[in-house]
Amino acid sequence: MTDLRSLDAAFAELERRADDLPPGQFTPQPKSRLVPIAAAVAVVAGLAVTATTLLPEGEPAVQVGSPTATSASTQPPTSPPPTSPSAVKPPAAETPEDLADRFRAVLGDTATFTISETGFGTSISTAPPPGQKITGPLPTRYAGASFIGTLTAGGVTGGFDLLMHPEGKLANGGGCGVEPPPECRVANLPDGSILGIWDMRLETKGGITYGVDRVRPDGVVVGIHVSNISSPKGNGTKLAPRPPLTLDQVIAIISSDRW
Amino acid sequence: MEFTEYMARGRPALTRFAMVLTCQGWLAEDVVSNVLCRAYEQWERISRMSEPHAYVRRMVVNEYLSWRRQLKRTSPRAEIEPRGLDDGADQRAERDAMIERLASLPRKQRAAVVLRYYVGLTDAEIAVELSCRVSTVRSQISRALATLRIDLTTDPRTLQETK
Repeated sequence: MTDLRSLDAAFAELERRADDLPPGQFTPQPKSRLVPIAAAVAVVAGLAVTATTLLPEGEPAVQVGSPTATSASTQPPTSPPPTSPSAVKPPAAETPEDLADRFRAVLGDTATFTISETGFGTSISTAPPPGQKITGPLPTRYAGASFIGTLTAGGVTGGFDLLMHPEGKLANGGGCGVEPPPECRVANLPDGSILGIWDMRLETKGGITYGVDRVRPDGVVVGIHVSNISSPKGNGTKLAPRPPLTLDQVIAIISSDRW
Repeated sequence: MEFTEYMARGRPALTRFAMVLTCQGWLAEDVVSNVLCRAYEQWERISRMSEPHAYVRRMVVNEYLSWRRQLKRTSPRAEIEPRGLDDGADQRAERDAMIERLASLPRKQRAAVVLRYYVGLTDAEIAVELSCRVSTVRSQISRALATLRIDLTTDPRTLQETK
């Protein structure tokens, strides 16, 4: 056993290591280069991942996912998941209803789902030019669609979220971001898409979440998280011992040409 | 206070706090960068608060505890591995072992310990920060101290407080 002096020494050493870190990348007045901020933050009442990028010289910044509380449900799917490739991809879904239709078509008989909250897929904020003071919220527009809910497959029900928007960039590293974390595995699809594949064990509640983010060459992003916890964030009730879909099934769903 | 002024003043302290909280430099930088990006957009509102830094620090805690971070099971990396032993080897070994034990704590336990013994908040204040009950905070800290192998009865500060 030891005492708090050891903890104080540990804190002091960590402070010293913090002081040794290179200067942070963030600047409120971006100068000449892209300032990517690999980010993933909780959105109040929201879903999925928030990826924030502040771009220079008044270029837009992107923030993904923020549904508003609404309610909807879907009918069970009737068609099988597609497997055939197609050369021309449709644009990103612009409404939750459109996204739900596509999800239903992709799922086929694999699973059914209900939707509890819907929202936009991404927000694009414009950073001010260098030297300009911030006097209010940044100008923001919204694109794409997202929703969260429950998904049932093979008699197992779990939580899920899904988003789609047209503002992705392959150059930003695809689904794993510019600096892929250890938990993200990158895969490539024949159409040039990049997949970020997440197999995540939650720290609490014995939760498991599978996540797959796809960035197509045309910039369209499709991302899903499927969990055995009611919210794929890891919050809420544990609904089953395992997620309703396997990771391979989730990969196949996001890799579909029907998006 | 302008955001740039806050950045200049507050970022070092925030980075230190995040480093103590995460035990990993890359994650500390990531957390602080993302929080500052969001604080930047909300600065008009935050700057009117009585304690903007406390609010931003809380954003750091929430960011660290947020779901995607929670999903990313952080594991000790090279930067928290024991370093070379030379003069004061025993003290360094003990310090690095403590950092490793700190890094191994579940996130809420670690956050509670850092807020208590690094920031100096009371149990009630920590409960507000972590959005939980005071009894939960005490339980988290108690379990964390057991994992850290810290015996408060041997600590001079504890003895002083109980006089």
